[in-house]
Amino acid sequence: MTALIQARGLRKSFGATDALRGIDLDIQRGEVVAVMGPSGSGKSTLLHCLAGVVLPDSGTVSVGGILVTALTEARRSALRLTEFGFVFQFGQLLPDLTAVDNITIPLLLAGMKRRQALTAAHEALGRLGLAGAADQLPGELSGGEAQRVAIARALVTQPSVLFADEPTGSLDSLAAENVLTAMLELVREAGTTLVMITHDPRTAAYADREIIVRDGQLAAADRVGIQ
Amino acid sequence: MDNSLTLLGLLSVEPSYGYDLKHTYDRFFGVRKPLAFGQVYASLARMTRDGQILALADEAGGGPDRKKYEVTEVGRTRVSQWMFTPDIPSDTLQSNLFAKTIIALLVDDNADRLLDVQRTEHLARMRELTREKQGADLMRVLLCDHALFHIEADLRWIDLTAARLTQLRNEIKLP
Amino acid sequence: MNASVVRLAVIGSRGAWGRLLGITAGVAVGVTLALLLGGAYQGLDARDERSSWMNASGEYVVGGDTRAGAVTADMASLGEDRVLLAPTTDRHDGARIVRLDLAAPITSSVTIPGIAHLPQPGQYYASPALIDRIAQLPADELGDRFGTLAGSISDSVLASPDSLVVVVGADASALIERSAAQIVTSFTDVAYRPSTNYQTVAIVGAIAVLFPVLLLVSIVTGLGASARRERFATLRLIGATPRTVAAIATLETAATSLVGALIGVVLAALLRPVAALVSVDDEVFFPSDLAVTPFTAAVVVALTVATSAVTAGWRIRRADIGPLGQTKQRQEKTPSPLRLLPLAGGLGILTAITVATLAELPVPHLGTLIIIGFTTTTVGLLMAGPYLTLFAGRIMARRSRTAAGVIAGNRIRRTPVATFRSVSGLVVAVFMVSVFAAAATTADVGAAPGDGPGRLPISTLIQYLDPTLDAVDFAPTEEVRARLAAISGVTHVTTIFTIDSGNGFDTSQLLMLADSANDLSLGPVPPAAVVSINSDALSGATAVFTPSAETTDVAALTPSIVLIGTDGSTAAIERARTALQTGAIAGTGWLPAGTRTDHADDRLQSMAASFATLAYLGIGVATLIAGLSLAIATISAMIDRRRMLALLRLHGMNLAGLRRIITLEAAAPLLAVMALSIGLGFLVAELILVGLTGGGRSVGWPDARYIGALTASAVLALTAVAAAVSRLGKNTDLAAIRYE
Repeated sequence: MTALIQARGLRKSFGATDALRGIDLDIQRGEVVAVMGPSGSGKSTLLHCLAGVVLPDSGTVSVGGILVTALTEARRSALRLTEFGFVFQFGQLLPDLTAVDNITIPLLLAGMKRRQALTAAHEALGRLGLAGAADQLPGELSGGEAQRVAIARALVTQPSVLFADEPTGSLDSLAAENVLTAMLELVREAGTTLVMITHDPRTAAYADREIIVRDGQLAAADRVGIQ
Repeated sequence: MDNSLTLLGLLSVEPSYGYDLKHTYDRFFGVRKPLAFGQVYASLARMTRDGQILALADEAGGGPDRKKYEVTEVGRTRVSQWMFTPDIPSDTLQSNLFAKTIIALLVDDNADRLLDVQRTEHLARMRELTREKQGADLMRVLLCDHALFHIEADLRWIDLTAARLTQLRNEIKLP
Repeated sequence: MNASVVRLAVIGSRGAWGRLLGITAGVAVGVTLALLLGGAYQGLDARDERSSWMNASGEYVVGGDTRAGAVTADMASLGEDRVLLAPTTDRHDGARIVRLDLAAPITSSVTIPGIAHLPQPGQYYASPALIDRIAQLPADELGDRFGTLAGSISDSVLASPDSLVVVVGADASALIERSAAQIVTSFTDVAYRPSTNYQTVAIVGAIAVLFPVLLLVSIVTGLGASARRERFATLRLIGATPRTVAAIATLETAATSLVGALIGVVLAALLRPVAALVSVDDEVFFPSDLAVTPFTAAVVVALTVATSAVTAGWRIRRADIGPLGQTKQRQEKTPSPLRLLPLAGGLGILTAITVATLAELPVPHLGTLIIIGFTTTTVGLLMAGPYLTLFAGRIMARRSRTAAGVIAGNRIRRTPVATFRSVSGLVVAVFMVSVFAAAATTADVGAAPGDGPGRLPISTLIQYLDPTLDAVDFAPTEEVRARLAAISGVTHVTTIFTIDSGNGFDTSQLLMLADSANDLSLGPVPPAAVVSINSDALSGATAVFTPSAETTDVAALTPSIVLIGTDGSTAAIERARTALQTGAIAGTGWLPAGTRTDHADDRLQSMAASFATLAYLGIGVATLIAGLSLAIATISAMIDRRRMLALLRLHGMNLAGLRRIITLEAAAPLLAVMALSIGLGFLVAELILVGLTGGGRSVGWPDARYIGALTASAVLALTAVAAAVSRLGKNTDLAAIRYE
């Protein structure tokens, strides 16, 4: 079986600093992968390249057979809309929109009718145990609740890959664990591929495997073909 | 930590007298608890018996402390095997991992890889524990969490050490 | 407070410099405009005061007065302390000339300011602009009307460099026949009465410009607020007290706006000659008229600095920045319906004034009340704006089907005050434009006279004769007629008669000889010796000739009006006008020869028209500033929210979607309040006009300039938003967001 995400020879530099220095990586469909490594090692740049947010200076990324690195910005936007979901550490909800409205945004962007989108959003909130918070603004939610709303929003379009960058980084241990369990449950159930940056080994322990990025390269054990 | 393997590792840096070996050991690992001479000679005798080291030709005024030992090929293989076999994550692991790292640096082997291998082992154990938590009762979960936090502490030490290897290498250069 | 802390807090980054520059520039523009407007207001007063001598008046000469000291045709009868003055409004090529005919003995002690000596018969003094005009034209078109140039009238007694004023020396015997002649003893202490209506409109106009200026200053001082809040939060974290942080903000704004205000003072001085070229009430200013005293300038600077600094400090205190910054977005208070009260109050005041005026109740301080009503209404519109914006946002958030609509709608309903602030300038501008456009419609009621079949051509000079004069020779003799007819460009000279019915002349009954009626070729003339012509034919109605029922006796007719047809060239008209004045025809003195156009150009109407011009000028400035404010506000709102916008891009929204969000956020409040602004504008104009004129005037349909102004506002708004939006791509770089 060919890997869902295949990255070959990824290189990317910002000015004088080399963020990625030749990365080869395969991620299987439905796999949960933790990306670890010291700060500034290039984890986020790797994630951005895989998701088509940033184009590498050289190298290729293909997702499900589509060569992401060859697409125009508009096509990559469309790909992000339908195939990818994103969760960040904090502050990713639109502060002016209620929880349920926040979740409808990707659906509306995908062209769904408002009424249907609202129904789907309520359902998504319910699955994360947040049915009661539907009409609250992000400012009125706790950190854990806000993260769960963000997860609901990322997954509501049923993407094939969920990219998460320190999704529990700003939460305490218990809240982090609750958020993670909820996210993992949904991801495993739907067979979504999860690529999750984390510096926390306990978070990484939820993954099927971890890859370690150091100085823009994968740690030896993670290189393709070495396993 | 395994004293005799550590001594064997030190000997693989360069041939040494038992007396010097003890002092080198103490310098790196005996800060809290220096090694007794008797222990050193007992280990040397055992390693000689196992063919991991051999005593060089006696020099003038022989005696056990005037013998110079050298590591054999068997001994080198043993050291390498020891270094790159990850330990089972446990409370007592740390000093052994530390010893392995120092020896790897001293013999100019790949300390990075050693730490990576150990990290992988640690994470594998953590995954195991995390899986165990799923669906378990709270007591079991808390027990797993206890183990997880300890392993995590080790992992943090591994990360920190990995980040400081170059500095460490410079500091332990044998005189 | 440590100086380096201040430096760190104020100019921590390159963006901070941009912010400070923006504030400085905004304040500079504001102060410049404020000073020029203040100067113009004073200048209007100064203008009236300087030219007040032209309004000198006195008793009219009573014919046949035989009392001791009575003024007679003998110059000596005036003595040393009296002169005979006959003011008229002469014209040349559409321009008005203030003509003062003056008879004074050479020994007279009466003086006219700005003139060395009183002119003797045949001499004249003229304003520089008029001297120029005379010099550029053949004498028979203008110069011959006055005689010999004796000197120029000093600028110090002229309203404007453009003023056309002439003081002409004459014999008492000639002037005493004029019905306008009056006995004047002094030109120096003439009480001048500034036109309060005019001043009211001028103040209203100034307010129209000042509001957008204030909004601009308020917007620029809020520039980059979110970046600055973060910097202040850091200061708080390392130990600065809220008081220190507020003090830094106050100090920073004070310093910046002081620099801006000083630049504004310099700019105002530099721009004075340009601003003086703006024609108000048909006349440009002397640059010195626009100068403000150093004291006024100092007060403006001090007020600007104090207000902006205190506001900045207050804003920061209110924002309540903790050591950790504002982790949660500050919730705006939902605007309450109470915000509609000032608007209702303002309209109430204006309505009350109108009702009182219509009921002919005395209204004290009418002008002041109208200004108060107008200002309250404007402020009320600004206060009501957020409430209406909130409504628009709610509807949009609920009804929208697109992501952009939902996002923009919710943003608007959560932050109606901030959203409205960015468009408030344009809303005020449109309100003002509507007020002035509506007010100006009254000026266009008797729009410029035109030609048409059966209508007296506008190239025909109409000279009213004054049959009430005792002089016998008021009628043009054949010789005079022949001389007039011989002027190059004159096509015919026709006399219109009246008949003396026994008790005075019936001026509504205009009669013509059939031959001369045919000369006019205005339509069929019935076969009769004497025909009657409708009197409103002289003011542009279609001429209708009917056989005269009154008389057919030519000898019984009294000449009343002379029509001089010309080929329509300015030269011909002015030659004929000059010939009329120098000839033996005694005009009425009140109304010198003029075309239909000249006669329609009545003072009041042209004043209203010049208000409109002034208003459009002010609105132009205001709209530009408002557009600028909108662009600045949109850009700064965008920068403050760049992380959010970048995240939306990440989630797959394309740039067009982001553009729609920003555009909707500007458009929704504009549309919500714009219709109201326009409606209110017309209502307020109607109320003010009716109030000022006691019901004499009311508004009509606005002219093309209004549509132009509205279009310009719309284009400006679009441009402003487009300019802001064009920076979206750069500001929402996806890679940058994680680190902010």
